[in-house]
Amino acid sequence: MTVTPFFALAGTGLLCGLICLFVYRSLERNRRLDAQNRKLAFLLMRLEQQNVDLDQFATMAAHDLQAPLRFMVNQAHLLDMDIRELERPELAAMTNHIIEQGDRMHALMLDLLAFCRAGQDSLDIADIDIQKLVSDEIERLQAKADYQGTEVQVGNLPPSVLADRQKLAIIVANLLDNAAKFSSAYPSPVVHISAREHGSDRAWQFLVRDNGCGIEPAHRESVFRPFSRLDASKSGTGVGLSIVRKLVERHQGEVTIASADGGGTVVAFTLPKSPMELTP
Amino acid sequence: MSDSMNLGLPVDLSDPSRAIVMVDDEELDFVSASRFYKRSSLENPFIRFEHGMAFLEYLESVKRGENALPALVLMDINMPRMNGFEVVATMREDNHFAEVPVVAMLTSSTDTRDRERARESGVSGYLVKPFNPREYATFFESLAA
Repeated sequence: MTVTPFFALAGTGLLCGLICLFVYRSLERNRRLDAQNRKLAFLLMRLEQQNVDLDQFATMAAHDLQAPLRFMVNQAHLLDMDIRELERPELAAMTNHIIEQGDRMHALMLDLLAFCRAGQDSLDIADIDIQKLVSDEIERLQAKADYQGTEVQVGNLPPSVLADRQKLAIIVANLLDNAAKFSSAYPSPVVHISAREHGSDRAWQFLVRDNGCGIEPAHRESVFRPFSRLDASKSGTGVGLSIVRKLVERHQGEVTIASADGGGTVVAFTLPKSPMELTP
Repeated sequence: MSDSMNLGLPVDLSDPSRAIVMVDDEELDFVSASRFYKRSSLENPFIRFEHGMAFLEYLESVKRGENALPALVLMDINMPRMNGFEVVATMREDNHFAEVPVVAMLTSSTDTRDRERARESGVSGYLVKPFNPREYATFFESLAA
């Protein structure tokens, strides 16, 4: 045996050993990654199931609590009728408090149900006549006694959009209602709705503007949290914008909020134009 | 009740022996409704059955001529044993009762599935049970008009 073949043989052996070690380590790393991925997938599945369970619990709780609450409020109304005949205003005031709080709890339950259902029902995507939908929602808004003095202006709108009709109506109704609510206390309240192309023309961006008090930048994120209310003097439970965000995101769009020129607020939401981006 | 299916009901209340019937396992709903019924101008009997089986037995007595055909049925949906839709389906199987107007009484205005079932099940209309029982007065007066 000469020296050169010995080193060549040893070198080959070493190389083979290194390759084996590399392969072993790679396999070991892959095995660990696979195990971690399986664990993550399991945790994700469990988290998703817990979210579904939580939503279903909230839905059932809100639904099943309505009947006993209705009995209580019904009885309070009957009591109120009897008390009025006794001419005891202090007792009438107490039954009124019961009725008011019962009605408030009922409104909260209905909004909790609406919030949960916004994430549960499947999307039924279709070509929607958005101009008619907006016009219907404006008519509904202006039928409310509080908003009869509110002028609603409609700017450019596309002839149609791809969306779930019922959910798009909820989005538009909530944004119009919100805009009207926050401008109605000011002189000459005006709500304006329009749309423009957005994101290299891949989406429509709808803008709902009011000339009300505006929202401080520090509070703009919190208004999307369910049951958050910036102004306790305004009616409502503070769930409208969180429902809007949930529904817009289910349509693969996004909602933003900003100050409007000249005061007030503008809420914008996008809807993709392409059906490829709107899989139910 | 403000959220209700079109209730242009063909309710014939001209025969004072024909009752308005409420089928509801919850007595308090009947207590609220009957209080406003008594104040209305309606004079037909207003009676309650606490479950569907008792109501179906009553219909048998109607067929035997022991009681008059109901003028209107207010049917609760969420009842134990037989729900309101099942009671209406059984009732409609008999031609004697094919034309009796039935109003489904829904617990919640958010029950879209119940509203769809109400449309499909052969009821004549639906009402959402009111939080303010004064709405019963409006309903009864609409029948009297």
